[in-house]
Amino acid sequence: MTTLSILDLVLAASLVVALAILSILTNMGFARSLLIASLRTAIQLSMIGLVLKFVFENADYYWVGLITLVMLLLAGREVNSRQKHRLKGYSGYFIGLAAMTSSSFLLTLLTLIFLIQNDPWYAPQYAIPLLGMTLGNAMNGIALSLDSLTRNAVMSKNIIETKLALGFTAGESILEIKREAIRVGLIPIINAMVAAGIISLPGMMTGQILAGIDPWEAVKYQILIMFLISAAAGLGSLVAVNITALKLFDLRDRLRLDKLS
Amino acid sequence: MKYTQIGIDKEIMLNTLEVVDLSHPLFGSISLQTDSSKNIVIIGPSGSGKTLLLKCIADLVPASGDILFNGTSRYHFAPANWRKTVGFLSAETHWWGNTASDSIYNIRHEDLDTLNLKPEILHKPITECSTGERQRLALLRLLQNSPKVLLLDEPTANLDLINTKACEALISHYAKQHQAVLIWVTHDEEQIARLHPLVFAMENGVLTQ
Repeated sequence: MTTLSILDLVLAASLVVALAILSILTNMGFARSLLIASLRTAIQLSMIGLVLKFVFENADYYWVGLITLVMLLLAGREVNSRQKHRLKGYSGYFIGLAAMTSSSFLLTLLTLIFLIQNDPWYAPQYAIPLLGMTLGNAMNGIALSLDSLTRNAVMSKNIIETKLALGFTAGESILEIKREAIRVGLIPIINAMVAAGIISLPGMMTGQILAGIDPWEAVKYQILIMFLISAAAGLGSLVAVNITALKLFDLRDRLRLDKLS
Repeated sequence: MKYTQIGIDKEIMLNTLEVVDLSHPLFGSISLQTDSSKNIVIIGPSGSGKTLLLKCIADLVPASGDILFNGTSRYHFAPANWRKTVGFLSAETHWWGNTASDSIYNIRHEDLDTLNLKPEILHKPITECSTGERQRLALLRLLQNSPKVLLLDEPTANLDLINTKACEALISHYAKQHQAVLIWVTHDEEQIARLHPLVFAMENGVLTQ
């Protein structure tokens, strides 16, 4: 594989800088967030590069476990921070964490143990990228679902209350909104699966091909990942949406939007 | 349940509603006792908490204190059953689906007729129905549950006199048939005169007779 020099990266960065200058010239106002995001990507990826290098050389289960834990905690935090209306207190954070653990973590674990069957099964070279991909996508799906759920609950407050007044249970009165939320959460992964191979070449497969792996092997891995990601995003959204919807009501089935910030 | 002798040998079951020390940050401790032989009207300036009181009685808004139907506390009812029994009709109506038929499925054509509505209206896009039509449809939608208590928040505010009287007729007929307890919120003086009610006034969070 042809390696990249720092100069190559600087040249690539100049594209982003040029775009930022264009934003300033045309008064479009996205230069700042673009530059911050680019800087974050460079720093965060460099750091994870160092961490991965370290873990690959010290492939002990506790290092893998520690990284997994940190990734899960950060993902839980990220899900919560992406909501426009979030639950007050820490429950939003715990729901994100629970959803992520019960979907991405669990499914990645099963995939590593029963499908990939490395020795040891937690070999960091497999475990961490796999978890990273499922976590990233599930996080996206869960964040979108929850945002749709709480947004629509706020917007359709009157309809929900009308249904409650007519003797619907809390679950019945918010069913449509839950359905829509899960649909919204699954849109990105369903689009990705539909477009895969025809319109877009998925990132992981592209990476493996760039690294010189036989395309057929890369394709098999990509299919595995796609299924894993969609299962994780779907399961995670289901868990997160159902717990959050429950939290929007009290024990007397009253809609309690005051629990949202 | 309470049995009351009416006439010589006719025994009628009266349904009762008791509100005991109901308190909310926006109104003081309210107590109220009524049954299906009476008609209660609550008047008061807008913003005085009349709607809130009705919502609290329907257990849609948290309030301390208790509410009893025929002597049984709301806490002994599943929330949905309480609200099927104690039906709240909001002043503004809200709809889901495309037509009224998405939420109205069990009404008698005579009732539509009483309210001067044609059966076709159930299949007209709800957004094309007038406010007055929606208000009458919402009344029918509520009555589908056969509630034993009706909490009516300005049920005829958007109606002309003919349709107002039609609604009153339907409601009092329903109340007689089901021995329903009625609590109205209204600003309409003539309506109050027609209903022969016990009038309560709500002002600054205090309910007085």
